[in-house]
Amino acid sequence: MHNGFINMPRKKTNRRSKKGFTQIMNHLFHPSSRNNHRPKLLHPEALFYFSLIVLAAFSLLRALRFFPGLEHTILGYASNITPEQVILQTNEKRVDQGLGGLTLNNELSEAALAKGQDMFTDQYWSHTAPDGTEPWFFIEEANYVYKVAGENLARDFMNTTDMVKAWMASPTHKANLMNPKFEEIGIAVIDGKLNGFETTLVVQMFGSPAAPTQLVGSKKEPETQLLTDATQAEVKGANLVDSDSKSILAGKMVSPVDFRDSVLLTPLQLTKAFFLAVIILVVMTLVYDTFIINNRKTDRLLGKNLGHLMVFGAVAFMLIFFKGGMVN
Amino acid sequence: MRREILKHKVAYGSLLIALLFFTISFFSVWPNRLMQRVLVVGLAVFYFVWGLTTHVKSKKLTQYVVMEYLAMSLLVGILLFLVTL
Repeated sequence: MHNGFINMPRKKTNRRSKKGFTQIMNHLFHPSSRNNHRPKLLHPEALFYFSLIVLAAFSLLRALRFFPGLEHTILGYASNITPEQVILQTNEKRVDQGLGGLTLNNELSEAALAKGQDMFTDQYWSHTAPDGTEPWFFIEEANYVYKVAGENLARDFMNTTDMVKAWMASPTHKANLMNPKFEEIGIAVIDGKLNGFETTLVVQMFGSPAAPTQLVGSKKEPETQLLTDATQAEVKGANLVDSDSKSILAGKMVSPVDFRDSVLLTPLQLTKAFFLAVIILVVMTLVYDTFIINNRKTDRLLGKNLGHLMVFGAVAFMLIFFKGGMVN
Repeated sequence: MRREILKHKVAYGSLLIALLFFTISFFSVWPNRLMQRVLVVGLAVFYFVWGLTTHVKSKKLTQYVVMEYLAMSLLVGILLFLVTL
């Protein structure tokens, strides 16, 4: 007993599989009577499947956070933001506007670091902590006595220039950066995991120290003004604080992570690469379909290929030049 | 292709202007992610409506064409929406 399939010569099997593969490719990409003169890949149901595949791939990428070992071998965060650059670029913007530069203050940097660590510990991304703690708490904890204070937050930026540009593009953050009342600045750049995702948080604290005459015998009356995004606070008076008791860390900025792993791809880069691959596949099929149908002079009752190409061209452009990063 | 463009120059012209508007707006509202998402939804809805309108005018609107524009708009919207998350 035997069946023909077992004894079939190897070459014939290969030929059949090659033929099957060619047929599938033709069906997917080549307009013919078999696919109603439209590549199967451009049929509405295939496009719906594309949408589902894109959603599934995106969800899978997000799910990588539940597999820390795997995530670290594929993805990572490659931010090269440094506190020095943040201060330098902030002061450059201020000087451009005819304002004075800000001086680095170690107490403000300590407050910024404490705020950043608190966000990682309690897993939030906001000026006010879930328990209601406001930024001024961290400034006061660091023994910085202020008459005016402010806070800018940023996350997921790859470099300082884009981050400062984003702050400048947001009216409330720009108001902090350009506030003539501020004299000092503190910066913390902290790497960690926020809601399961590896990220770099940047906390920028601004302040203006209370004058000694204001400090003596005066009672603290905080007058906080919470803006939508960036946050500012102002106090008319402040308690006297012995300046000698403060720790002096002259010239040192707080950045707990000095060494960062070099990574192949960030989650945003991987997402963009996959999405662009989908667009390229659809666009190439549309171009090929247009070329074949134009040569055949066939008239079809279908959507306009040129319109689809224009839209996907615009989407590809937006994807390529899309910048990550968020400010708060 | 050239004949197709000349035949529907108003339709393609309006699409080009709308795409330029959405692209420029998408980058000018940065870093406001919420506004970027609103623009993405706007682009997807616009393209769907544009597709139907041009086919209604040329009296070539079928259920298949509606589904094709719906699928294309959905894919475009999903690709851009997800990247802003």
